[in-house]
Amino acid sequence: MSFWLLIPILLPIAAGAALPAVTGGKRGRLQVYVAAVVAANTVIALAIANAGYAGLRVLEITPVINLFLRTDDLARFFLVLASLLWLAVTFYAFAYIEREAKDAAFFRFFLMSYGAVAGAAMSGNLFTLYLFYELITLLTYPLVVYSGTPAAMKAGVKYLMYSFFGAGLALVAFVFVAHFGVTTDFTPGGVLDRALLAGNEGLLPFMFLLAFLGLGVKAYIWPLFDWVPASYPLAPAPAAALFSGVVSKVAVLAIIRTTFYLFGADFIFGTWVQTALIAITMFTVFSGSMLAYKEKLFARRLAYSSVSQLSYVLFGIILLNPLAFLGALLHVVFHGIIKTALFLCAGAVSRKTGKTYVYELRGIGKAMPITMWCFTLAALALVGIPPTGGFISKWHLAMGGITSNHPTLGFVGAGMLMVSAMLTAGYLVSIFAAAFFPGHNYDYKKLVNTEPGKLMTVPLIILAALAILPGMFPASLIEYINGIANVIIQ
Amino acid sequence: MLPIAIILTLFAAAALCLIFKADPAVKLIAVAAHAAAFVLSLVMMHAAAAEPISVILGAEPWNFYVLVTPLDAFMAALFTGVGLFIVWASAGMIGHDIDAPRLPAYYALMCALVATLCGVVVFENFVNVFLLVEASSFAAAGLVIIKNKPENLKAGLKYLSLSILGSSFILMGIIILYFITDALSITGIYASLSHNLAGNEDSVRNALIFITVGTALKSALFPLHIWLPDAHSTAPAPSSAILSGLVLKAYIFLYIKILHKAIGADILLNDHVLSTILGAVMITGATAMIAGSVMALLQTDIKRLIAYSSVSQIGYIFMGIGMGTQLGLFAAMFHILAHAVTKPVLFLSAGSIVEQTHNRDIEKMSGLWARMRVTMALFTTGALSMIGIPLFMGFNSKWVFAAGIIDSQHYWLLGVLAFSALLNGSYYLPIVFRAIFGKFNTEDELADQSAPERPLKELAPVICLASLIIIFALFSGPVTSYILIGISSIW
Repeated sequence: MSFWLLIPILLPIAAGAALPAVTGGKRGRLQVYVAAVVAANTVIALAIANAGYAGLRVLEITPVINLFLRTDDLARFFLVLASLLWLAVTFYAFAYIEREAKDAAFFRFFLMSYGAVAGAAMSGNLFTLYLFYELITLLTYPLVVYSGTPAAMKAGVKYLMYSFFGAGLALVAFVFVAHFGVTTDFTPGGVLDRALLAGNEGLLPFMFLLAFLGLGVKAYIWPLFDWVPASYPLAPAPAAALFSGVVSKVAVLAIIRTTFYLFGADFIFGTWVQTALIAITMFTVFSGSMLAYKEKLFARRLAYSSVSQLSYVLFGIILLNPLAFLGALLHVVFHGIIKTALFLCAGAVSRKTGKTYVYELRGIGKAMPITMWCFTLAALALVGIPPTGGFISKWHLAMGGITSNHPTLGFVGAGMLMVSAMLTAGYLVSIFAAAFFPGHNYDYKKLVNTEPGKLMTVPLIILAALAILPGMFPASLIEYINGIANVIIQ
Repeated sequence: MLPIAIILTLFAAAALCLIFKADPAVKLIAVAAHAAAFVLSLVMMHAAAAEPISVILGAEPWNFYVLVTPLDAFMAALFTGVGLFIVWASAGMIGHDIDAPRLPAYYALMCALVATLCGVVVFENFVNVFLLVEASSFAAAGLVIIKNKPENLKAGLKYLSLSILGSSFILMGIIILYFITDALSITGIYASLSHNLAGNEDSVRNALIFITVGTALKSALFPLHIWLPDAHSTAPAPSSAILSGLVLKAYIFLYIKILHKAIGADILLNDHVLSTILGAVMITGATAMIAGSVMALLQTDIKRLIAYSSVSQIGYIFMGIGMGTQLGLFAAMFHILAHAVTKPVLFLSAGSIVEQTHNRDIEKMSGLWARMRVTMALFTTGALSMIGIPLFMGFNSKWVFAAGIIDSQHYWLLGVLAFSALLNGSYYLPIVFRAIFGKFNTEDELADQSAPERPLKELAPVICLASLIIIFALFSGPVTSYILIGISSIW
């Protein structure tokens, strides 16, 4: 029994619960405490990922309802990504949350959410995944409503309702899987039993649609992404960064588990539901980009951008071929890093200057050069300029689309990725262009240096570097992902 | 003789309460009697699993006939067990609601109510059952009226009159069955129906319609729930807990027994009219799930909100019964347990909030967490279970319902189930979150009032019930297999 798998889940949750008691409201002590817990947990998570496969089954209530943790390749992949991003955001958050008096409440749920995310990453069966998925909803809600304004409370309710609705849809599909499957432990190739299923085949695509859309709520799939523009601009920047960088990726993980480890690609391949979902994800890619393009509120523009980018990933998954899957998982990594960086930049700008609209950012590059340089690098990577990470992932996604079993839709999808990349360039380049080249009528005398401190800039620099460098040396990452893809897609 | 001993213990306790009258004595008597009855019920559960317990005095049809199968014993244990915690909780809570002179009557009614509920489930002869059904209606209405406020009197009388109307519908159904079969015991009717059915199909159909309407009225199945919100929200908190947690379930269980023991699945499912009635019950239940939640969503009074939530939860149970499959019935039985454990936690913690803050308006409960941590934690436990979050009992319930739906192939109900869970979340969670985070955005509206936490001693029974929510969720195996044994013994 590998009981140490419980540590990265229980440590942050227990530490979060004990936070007010331990820190006693002292700011310095709180920062040391939170940093120590997150750092320790990240080290443990990396050690677990490094240790290779392990499994742990506790609380065996029934064959379906039991807590099963395990670290297969896919779980380790998400665990490492989530842990590193969480660590980077932690230090930034110390600087960002500075002015508020209620930082204990923020960091308490910040820590506890980390535990829930780690649990979701390592979940080895359907019940465990569902448990941590619901837990993430409940524990991240306080981060959304942190500012406490009536608008934030309203956005919080919206977030909860969408999440619960999605979880409800997914649960229905999960019961279907439990009913017609031989097990509910994630098994490469799926668990459904053709003999048990006889007579109910017509139900299967419908159930898959429910699961995909339900879990897709947290991955911003159309038509269920309406809570995103409502809640992200109101959440503190570190929280928005984690939502977009990590929590949405947990939803992607859940969808991958459902698609390849529960339903099985064989059952979905070539059915109407695959076609429908390809169309839906393509539409989400396009509409997210369009909404971002015409949005003037900085944080909301980034939120819409996430809507679009996450559907790149979902598009890659539902094509059900190894090339697209590779593109999807690469995009999970790069988008996680890039969007975290972008949200943190937007947060740094609004925190230091109070400017939240994109048209207010003229000349900001002169006042906050490091922040805006990091923004520029990350933005270029998101647009997909070679040799950044975004290029590699989009390349594979487009290739996967073209070579898919739906050649027409695949071609249209690949074209849509290009159009969306243009739009991405449109809504991001305009920001940093105006930031660095404010025009001849800009009054340089009014310029005040508002560069944030090292707690903010160092994580930004690291994230910006990560957005570029792995794109140049992606070989080992590609090899790792291909290892996963070969097991689950025949 | 175990079932008789249980009922007599409780009735004797009711009498003793009226004789002794002194304050601590009546509490002790009531709690001790429930504890004794609970232990006896557990023993009975064990015994009934091996062999049904029967006590017969006199000859059919007008006799005194007790027959305890595993399911009956399970229900008796549920009533006495949950009743024990509610009576124990009354000891600390009821003083605020009821004047001292009425206390003995309150405890006597509690004991008598649980006694009659146990009687309803263990008796086999409908004459016996019907007397106890009527007695339980009066005891239950008494628990509403005992608060002695004008609105209680009004709500109590409304409850009593509609409840008696429901009983008379059930009686009508039983009389029709008696004319066909010349039998008054459940087993007697079943034995007789199996060869008397030819030519009497219409009468059996009529009987089932009467019994269904009567049960719907007594168990507050939407749209016949009209008495429930008034009665449950005006009653003292422990009374609400027992009315919602236990009383409704006794009549539902009687209905299950009539369906599957008196008429029998083979007749019920093969006659197209009878199975249509069953289908109508399922659809009405599904409607109730949504309608009850929508009405709950519109409430601002916390106790009314919880009362309307009961309407929705009763809908779940009827939906399970109406599926007409063993898995559906199992889901209904499991939900009877889940709701019986969860709803008292909600009513008792809400009652505690209302008493300590003198406020029933959920909009004004901002920041309550800081003041009443334990009470709010208990309320949250109940709420999470109602929503169906994993590791709480409500999730197990939701799961078996979904499995039952897939098994019976009424797939559209899955949508109802998912939507209903969403609705449950949308009226319970705002209360919880407002209590935790509300102080961030509004002035602390209760700041000037002293609203201290209740002493742990008084909350202890509620804490026990709340832990049961989690314990049954994590270790549902024994309960599940016991219910399954029970169902297979009557199906």
